[in-house]
Amino acid sequence: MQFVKLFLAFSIIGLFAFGGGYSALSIMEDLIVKRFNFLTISDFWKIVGIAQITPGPIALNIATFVGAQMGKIPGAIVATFSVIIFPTLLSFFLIILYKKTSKNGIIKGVFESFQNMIPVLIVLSCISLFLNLVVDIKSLLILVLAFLLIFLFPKFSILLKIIISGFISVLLYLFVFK
Amino acid sequence: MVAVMQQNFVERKKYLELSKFTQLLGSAQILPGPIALTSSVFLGNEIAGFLGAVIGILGTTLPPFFAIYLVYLFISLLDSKIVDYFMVGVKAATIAAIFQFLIKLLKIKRYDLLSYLLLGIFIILGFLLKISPIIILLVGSFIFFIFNFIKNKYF
Repeated sequence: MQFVKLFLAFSIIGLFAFGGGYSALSIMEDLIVKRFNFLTISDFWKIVGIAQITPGPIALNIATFVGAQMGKIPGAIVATFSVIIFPTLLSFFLIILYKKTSKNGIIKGVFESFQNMIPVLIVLSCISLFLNLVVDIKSLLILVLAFLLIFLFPKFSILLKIIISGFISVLLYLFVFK
Repeated sequence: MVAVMQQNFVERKKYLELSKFTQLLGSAQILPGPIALTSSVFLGNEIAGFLGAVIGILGTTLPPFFAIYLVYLFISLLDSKIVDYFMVGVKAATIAAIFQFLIKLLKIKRYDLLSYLLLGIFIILGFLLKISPIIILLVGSFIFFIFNFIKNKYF
């Protein structure tokens, strides 16, 4: 039963995961936390954090992690497989379609309309994460520091900055915050 | 990941031309799913047919799978408080990174005023009315599709 739920949840996520990881977060939160209750919202955002700093696309990593949480190795396999099934099928579909150029315009148009909505999903994910993160003045301060870190050092990789932000946070909590 | 693919497939191993790579990347971008995955299907297929695509999928999916599973096994062993403190920083940086990505996206994809208005409305609907993001995505995409259709973008 768990595996059927994992398959349903993650295949839907894969189907609507337009525009890369960040916009998919919104859809993932809706399905993983609200619809299927795999995780609490707090745990979900923790896993998002972990998925950020581990190799691989964030959507894949979240799927693997949630799958592992719900059903160990078989769960991880089901979830990972489910999240890639639609993108893969659609990719092959588009490859085959390329030979029939006349149909390209409309179908591409459909997908591009989805692209237009990406900023909406990104903003919604951002708001949700913000509400989960900023609960007191300490977390607000860390958020401000994180923004400075990300924007003042464009030359460094985002991954590095995220990890450094984590370490700064640990140091602040251990030695500065009372 | 895409940059690494470009470096290796186009520049080093010369499997395909940059123009072809960019074209395939464009197709990969419009599909749902991680771009690393969709582009590996297209690139794999271009370089070595169906088998190439399959191998591309496995190559993109398996290493992170094992890495994540290891992390899953070990994460419970770490001291929970330290992990929590670390996560605050990670989440904070994630918000900043998302914001940065959003700014980049808005610069590339030049929306006109009406589009911004639509986006704003959808954000408010999604946030205040707590409508499912999937519904918003479907309805919004449909509206943009009609919008673009009227502007005769498809002819």
